[in-house]
Amino acid sequence: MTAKTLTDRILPPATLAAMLAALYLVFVAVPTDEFQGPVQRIFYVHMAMWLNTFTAFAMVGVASLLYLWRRTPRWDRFGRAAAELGLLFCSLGLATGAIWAKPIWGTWWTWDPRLTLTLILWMIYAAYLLLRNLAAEAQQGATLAAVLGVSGVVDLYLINRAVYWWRGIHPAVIVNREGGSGLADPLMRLTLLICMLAFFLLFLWLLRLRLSTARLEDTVDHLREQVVPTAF
Amino acid sequence: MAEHVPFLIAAYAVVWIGVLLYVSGLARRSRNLEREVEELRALLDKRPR
Repeated sequence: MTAKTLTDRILPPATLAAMLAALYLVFVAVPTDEFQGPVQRIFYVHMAMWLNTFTAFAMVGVASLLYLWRRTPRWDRFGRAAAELGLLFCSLGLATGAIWAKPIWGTWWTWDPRLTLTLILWMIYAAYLLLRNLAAEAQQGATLAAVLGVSGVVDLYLINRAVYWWRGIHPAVIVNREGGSGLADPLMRLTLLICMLAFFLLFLWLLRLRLSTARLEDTVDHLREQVVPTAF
Repeated sequence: MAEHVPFLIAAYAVVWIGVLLYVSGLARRSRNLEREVEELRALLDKRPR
């Protein structure tokens, strides 16, 4: 059995098991936060969305650099797949954040530095994907997108530092401003860990699926190039 | 604080609906591409060598 088929066999059941464990912990086992009440439980899935978003966009950054250096279609394909997943999880992260903010802050959205930078991040990678469709030549689109893919990493760093550099209202929970963790109960930390693991496994599974679709897209483009000269 | 429970349900529902929509869209895209690959290969096979 190859490593590829082994991963395909292990990843789906491992994701499912971790997801069930995460749901049990979030909705049954974890204690309710005394200040925020049940909405604090949104935090576990919200953090998982950001882990996936950061991983995906960091992957886009690395793949873009390698594409600009080597010009291999494989790196462009990888960047494209990771960008699409990053955009999905970034959208879900923004949505879960807004749903949490309404009862806690009294508003769905505020122009806090971290939130604003995150919206910019979403726009950068939406542009990354749009550029490919708008470019006259596929290679030109891939090059422009790769430049954008690398520049987006700067925004990732700014988002990470925003709560420390600027006095926004977004909480710093994992390591708070005063140092230490904002999650007092050990079960809360375990729930966060399992939830992040479950969604990270889901991310890896989706990435594999998206990469196989990206390979099909490249095959179609290659075959079209062969067919078109004979069609006219 | 119990009045906030719908927000909790909405957050998890948004995540799962989002993921499911993405997966179903990806599956549809993949099926269309597989069909296109087959059609293009058939077209190339018909071409005189």
